[in-house]
Amino acid sequence: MKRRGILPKSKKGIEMSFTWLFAILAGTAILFIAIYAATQFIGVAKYQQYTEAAKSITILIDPLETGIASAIGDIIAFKQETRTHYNCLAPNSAEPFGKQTISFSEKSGLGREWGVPGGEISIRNKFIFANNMEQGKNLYMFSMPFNTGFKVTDLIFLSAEEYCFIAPPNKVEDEIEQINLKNINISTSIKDCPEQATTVCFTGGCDIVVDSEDYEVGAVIKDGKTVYFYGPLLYGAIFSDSKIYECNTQRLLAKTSELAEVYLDKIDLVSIKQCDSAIEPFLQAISSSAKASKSSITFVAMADLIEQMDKREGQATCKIYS
Amino acid sequence: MKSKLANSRFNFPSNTKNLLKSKRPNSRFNFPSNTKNLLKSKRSQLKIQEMSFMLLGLVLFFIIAGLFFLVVSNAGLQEDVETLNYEKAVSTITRLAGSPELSCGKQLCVDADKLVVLKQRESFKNFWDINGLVVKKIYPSEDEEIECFMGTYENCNTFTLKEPEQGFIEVSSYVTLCKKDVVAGYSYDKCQLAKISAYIEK
Repeated sequence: MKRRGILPKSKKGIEMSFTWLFAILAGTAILFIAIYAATQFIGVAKYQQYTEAAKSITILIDPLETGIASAIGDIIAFKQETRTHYNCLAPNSAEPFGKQTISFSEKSGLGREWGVPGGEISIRNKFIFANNMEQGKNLYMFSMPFNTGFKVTDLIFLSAEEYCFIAPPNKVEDEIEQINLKNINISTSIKDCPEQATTVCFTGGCDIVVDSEDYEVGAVIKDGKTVYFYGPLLYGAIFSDSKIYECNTQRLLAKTSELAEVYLDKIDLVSIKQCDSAIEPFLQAISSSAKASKSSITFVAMADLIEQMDKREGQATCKIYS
Repeated sequence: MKSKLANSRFNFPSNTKNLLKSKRPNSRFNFPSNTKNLLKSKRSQLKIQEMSFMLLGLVLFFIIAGLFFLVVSNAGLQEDVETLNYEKAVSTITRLAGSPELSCGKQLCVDADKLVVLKQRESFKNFWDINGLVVKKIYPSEDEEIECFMGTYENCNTFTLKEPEQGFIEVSSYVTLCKKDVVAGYSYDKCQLAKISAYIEK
């Protein structure tokens, strides 16, 4: 008995089923490719936009580097709520001063969900103190020069949150008034602080506690972690999370050490012209202790040394860094 | 086993279950009465074909339009990157003179003693986010360009801190170039006019 085929023998029958198959398969494939391409394209466009925004932020920060000014404050206002993400890489053999990265994202799409951050923009020559992520419509920023006798850099502080400083000492109050940023309030008691503000206390218990006698050197306790500050690093300890703070401190120590060596070489160079300096041993001590240490407490330990060096430099006829 | 229908164009097994059947009463095709699936007419087939080609055409159109948009927007991206790089270089050059690595402590003043020392230090080469950095003494002017090293320091006029790479554009600013000098036991800053140039991508 001959077994009959399941498919009809007529060519027209085959043609018809092929058309169906073609229409279904081609239609599905085409629609899938179109939807996939569209989503990919939107994703690429968003990534590009966010990366450009991060790059723009780094450019907008540039004027904050004060040169010879003491402090500068400014605001970056966005059209909608945004997120800026910060990361820090400690110094290593490939990156002698370490680096920081900034990436950007905002709410987008029908559900107004947070987009995936764009490309990370690397920064090697800036020291930005901020939380791991800052979220808000405004990004408040200010800068202050950081000196270890000689100027090391301008520290940049970024924040989208509101802060309330409760009964700050005169030195801190003057500095905050000079910066004049809307997100930093000064209050005499915790009750007068805005509800959503992060409170900063100089005595007693708050979200952030500053423990210091002269507010030149001391410690800041935030989220149960203690970090140490020297000079304007106080604001770095307040406005950034401990991980970024310690990483930036390591970067600062690396730069302090390198600059101290530059000044040591300069002393050698100008000594040929009988321009002698007495700060050489201080610079050597600063350079070696900055190179050896990886903690924020090093600057506290170096404070006396810096003060003595500054005094000697002030008395010298041949000045090296001033 | 053969179909019992004499004028059928197809011969199907009697137990075939998946055959299509025309809805039209005067169909050209006659199928066994137990056939369950439907068979579309030629007209419907044509419509399906038309639709699939239309779909294909539409998608091709959108792909081409998308590609065109990509090319245009990529050109825009390149322009944006160039603008951002240029803005960055302009802001960098104005800041560089005031940076602790180069500054002599006054506004728009570069320390020549630091420059000659920095030239020897590899660590600062990639610190500035630029593709070249040169400081040239322009007044008092000298005919010959002499690169500054420790050995040539007193008679040189050009400090190449980072060798400019080929194909980059120059952004520059005028600065005061000072170095320590001693006359009759007194040290002072001997200053000259110089141009600081940063090199950036086109």
